[in-house]
Amino acid sequence: ISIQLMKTVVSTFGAVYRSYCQPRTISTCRFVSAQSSRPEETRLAHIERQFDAVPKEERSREAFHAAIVLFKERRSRQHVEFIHSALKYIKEFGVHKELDTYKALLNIFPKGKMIPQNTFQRIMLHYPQQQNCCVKVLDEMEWHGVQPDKEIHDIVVNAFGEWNFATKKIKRMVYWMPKLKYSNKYIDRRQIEGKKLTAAELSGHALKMMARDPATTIDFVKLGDGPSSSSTDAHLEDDWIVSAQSVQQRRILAGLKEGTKITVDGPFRVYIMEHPIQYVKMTSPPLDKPFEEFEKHDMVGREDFSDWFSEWTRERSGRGRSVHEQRNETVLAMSVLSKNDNLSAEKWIRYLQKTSPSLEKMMVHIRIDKGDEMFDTEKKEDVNKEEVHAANTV
Amino acid sequence: VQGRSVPMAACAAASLLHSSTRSLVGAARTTAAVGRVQRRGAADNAPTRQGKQHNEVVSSELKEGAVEKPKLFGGFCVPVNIAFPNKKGVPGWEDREHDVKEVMKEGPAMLKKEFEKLGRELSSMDGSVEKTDILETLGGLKDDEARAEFRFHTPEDLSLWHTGCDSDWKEGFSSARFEPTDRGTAVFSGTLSSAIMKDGRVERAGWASIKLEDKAAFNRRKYLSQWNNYSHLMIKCRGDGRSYKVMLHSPLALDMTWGDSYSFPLHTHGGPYWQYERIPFSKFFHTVSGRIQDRQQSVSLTDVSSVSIVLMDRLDGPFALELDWIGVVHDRSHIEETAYETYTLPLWNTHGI
Repeated sequence: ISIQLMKTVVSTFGAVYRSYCQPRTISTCRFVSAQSSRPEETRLAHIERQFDAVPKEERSREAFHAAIVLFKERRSRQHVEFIHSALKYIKEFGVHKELDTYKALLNIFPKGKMIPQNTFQRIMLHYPQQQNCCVKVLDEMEWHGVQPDKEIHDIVVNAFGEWNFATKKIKRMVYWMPKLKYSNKYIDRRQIEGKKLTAAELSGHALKMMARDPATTIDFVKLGDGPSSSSTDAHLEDDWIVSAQSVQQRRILAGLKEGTKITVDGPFRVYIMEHPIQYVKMTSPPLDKPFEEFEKHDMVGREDFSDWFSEWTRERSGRGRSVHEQRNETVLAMSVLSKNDNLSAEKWIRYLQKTSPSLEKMMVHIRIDKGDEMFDTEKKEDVNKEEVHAANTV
Repeated sequence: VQGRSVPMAACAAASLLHSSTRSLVGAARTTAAVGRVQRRGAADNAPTRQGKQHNEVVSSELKEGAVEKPKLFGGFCVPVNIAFPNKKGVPGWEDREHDVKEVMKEGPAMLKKEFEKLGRELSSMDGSVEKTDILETLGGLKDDEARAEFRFHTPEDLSLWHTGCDSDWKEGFSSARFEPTDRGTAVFSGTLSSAIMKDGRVERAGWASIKLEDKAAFNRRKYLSQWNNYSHLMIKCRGDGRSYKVMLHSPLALDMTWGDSYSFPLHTHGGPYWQYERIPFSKFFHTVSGRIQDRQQSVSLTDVSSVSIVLMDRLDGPFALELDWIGVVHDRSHIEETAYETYTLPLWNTHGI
């Protein structure tokens, strides 16, 4: 046992022991303690004191498990109340996303005692309070997205039997949660959940999720003016840009006419798993040719092969629409700025100019200093003109 | 071309994120009245409160403690369970009293509207057999043949969709709205909040949804049977990275089947790119009132009468999903009938419960 665990066990023990050292009128055993002789200790203890008694600074994983261990050693009754009170505190103790928490809670139930032995027990919900409590624990686990494994299934089976009400719950979880866990094909959640990612890493994952062109390169650019910066610019340490642009976008940019209006819009919000990220996008007006999503096929048109050769050559030689050229805009690049202001956007544009020198000749409007972050679905109004810059005047 | 001057706008910047017209504090403040039907925490196929059409402002003249009186005509509310006295699950439903005056006032207008609808229906039901329609019905679809069924260009298109969230039922504090944009699309947006209303009934909260309510004349159901031979459901949308849920509702004749639906998550990747999300119909799993069932069967589109998109991903915060169209597409290489195990249970077995 680590020293840390020992310390927390001792401190928790000290905080919690008091609540156990009450003479009980019904039980046959008495907890022997010097403190039990005091008059105020003779009142019945509240079952929720176990977790509430732990001071806020010490509420940690070790404290939680220590409290459970203490309960198991001391108490042979009132499992349900204890588990209910534990469920109220799992978030505060920071253990709500761990499978071990739920295993420890379900291990409190006695094994074998609650398994139905005859048909009537099977029909009627045998030990209903305990089964409902178990379902509440599993509900909490499902709510927090914790995936079950065979061990927790076996714990429930040993407590309630193979085909019981609570066991059905864990069987359903074991069947459905793995089926749907990786249904989101836009992210690799193994890289994001349970990991302590920096803001820049998270932004990189978010940009990867949003970028629909597989050839997008994501660059991490560290800003900060170098040795010439003064000592007060310590906050610039966290100044960076994560920029995402693909080869096709660069080609589109190179092919734009001089003086095209390019807009840098943001910040927009996107969620990557549970983290909200603010990103910024650079767009140009849409192409002149109409955006065709559907090809009409008449019965006659389907069977018409009279122009087959010209159609075929047109398909082969003509350039189709890329994924960046959308109906209302053409997306040229996306990025996440550590500071969402026009200045950082200008630095981003200067970074992009290294690979796309034609950007200097464009009319770039930056509209970031607007305050409210939005979703990409809501259009930013071109209202506050003070914030509109042209890149070539900078 | 240098420094092209742009005219300064004199008007103040209009806030695009205007606050929802439904005040959440107000919803929490008005006390629920009589005989509320017990609802499960995440009843995400629950219809919106009676009388509330999309974007309709709930009357703020309602005094504190007063309950909105259920309307006789015009409201839309799916009955929940015929076993309870309060069939619709709406407070005050079983105690409602309607004057004859109300019938006389509202009846004619309602009847006129419904007969007009019926007329339109009958006139569109032409007897001639269109070649393309017949092919569609018989299953002669080409690969990648698609059909954009629900678009969002006109206000009539949008009026078919109703929003719902937990605060409508006084079970939470989320907000939702469904508004058109100037691009011919519509945005389903709002804020999700998992804060629990402390009334002792609600255990979990935080859901918002939009549901299609396209009814024929006289509230008759319309089925999406024209989708029968297509293999995938296709939604062109632009989300915010959150995981929504698409549900195909098939409440049939019995009250036991009124909660029947087929669901699948709609994961969005967010960003400025539009997303053509194709979900094969074989992947939809059978849910009843949002709960996944043990016995699975594949969706039969001749029974499906409604589509809804729900958000209940347990993340607090604002959300937005822009929809361009919802339709179907046929992929001839998709031969899967159902993605889940189907089996018949032995005769004397109660495990199907």
